[in-house]
Amino acid sequence: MTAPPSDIAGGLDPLIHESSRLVIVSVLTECQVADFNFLLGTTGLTRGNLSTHMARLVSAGYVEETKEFVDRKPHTEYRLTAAGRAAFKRYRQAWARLTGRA
Amino acid sequence: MKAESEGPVVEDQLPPDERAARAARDKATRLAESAVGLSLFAAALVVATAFVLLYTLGDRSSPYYVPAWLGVLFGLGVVHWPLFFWIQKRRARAGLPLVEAKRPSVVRIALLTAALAVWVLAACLVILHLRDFEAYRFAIVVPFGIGYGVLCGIRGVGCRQWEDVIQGAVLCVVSVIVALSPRFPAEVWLILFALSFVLSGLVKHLRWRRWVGSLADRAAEASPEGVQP
Repeated sequence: MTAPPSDIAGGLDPLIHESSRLVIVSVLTECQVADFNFLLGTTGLTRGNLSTHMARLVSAGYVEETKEFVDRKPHTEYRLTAAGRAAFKRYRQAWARLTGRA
Repeated sequence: MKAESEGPVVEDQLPPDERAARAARDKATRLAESAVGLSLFAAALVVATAFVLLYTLGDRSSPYYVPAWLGVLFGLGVVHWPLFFWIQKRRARAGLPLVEAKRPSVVRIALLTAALAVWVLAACLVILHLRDFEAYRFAIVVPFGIGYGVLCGIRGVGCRQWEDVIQGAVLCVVSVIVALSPRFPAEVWLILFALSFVLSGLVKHLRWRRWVGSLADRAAEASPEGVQP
């Protein structure tokens, strides 16, 4: 019988566990609001990678996205939702449990 | 790693890069805190100038002298935030990266502002009632200087903002000197207090500018989000 993904990863949320998204969520944890360019500069990801990762986090409800046009240029802002903060907290607790066992 | 090619199994095999996440978090914290630098610098510069003018031109015997000083001090906190949001709006319009430091809830901000207003009002009444400008040192300098200095230092360590730690330490030391030395005018302490924010804001703003300047190398490619070179 195959164990569910959460058991395989020791309770680690696979959505946050991926290293790039771990960095993104860590950055957003410390900010009220951050825009696409800021995340690009702090994470060092490419535009394509960052867009894809943000889309996954948004679709999971971990990140709230606000799109607008500033001087006819797209401007996208991101903020962590309450669900995202709770998920990151759970992730860190699970990671602490795992490393404690090791 | 290409995000498009990743799968859940591959993700699970990756060890979480805690060091990279922590480094990015620290960098984000420093930059988010530094984003307030320009507004802090501008508001504090106006306040410091007003203090210097009050000190050199003000009439100590006037009943408006003390309220004017404390009103300007209170204005520093009130003006700083609208100025910050205006600067952020301008930054976003210019295509510069935009970030805001994590801040307390609206209720907490309102309560803190109300508490500060009550404190300033009480200090005004105490100083005017005693008819002694030196009551400043007990009503404002000691609690505000030492209390704020300690909080500023603790927060600076938490946010890795070392200029805040230095500012907090200097404020504590100067406040103790002012409290112990009756010859040291309270007005000079207030001028130093405002100047410490000028320097702190300048350091934060320069850090922000240096980071924005470092993005120029990365902005060579076409940018749908409009990174400013």
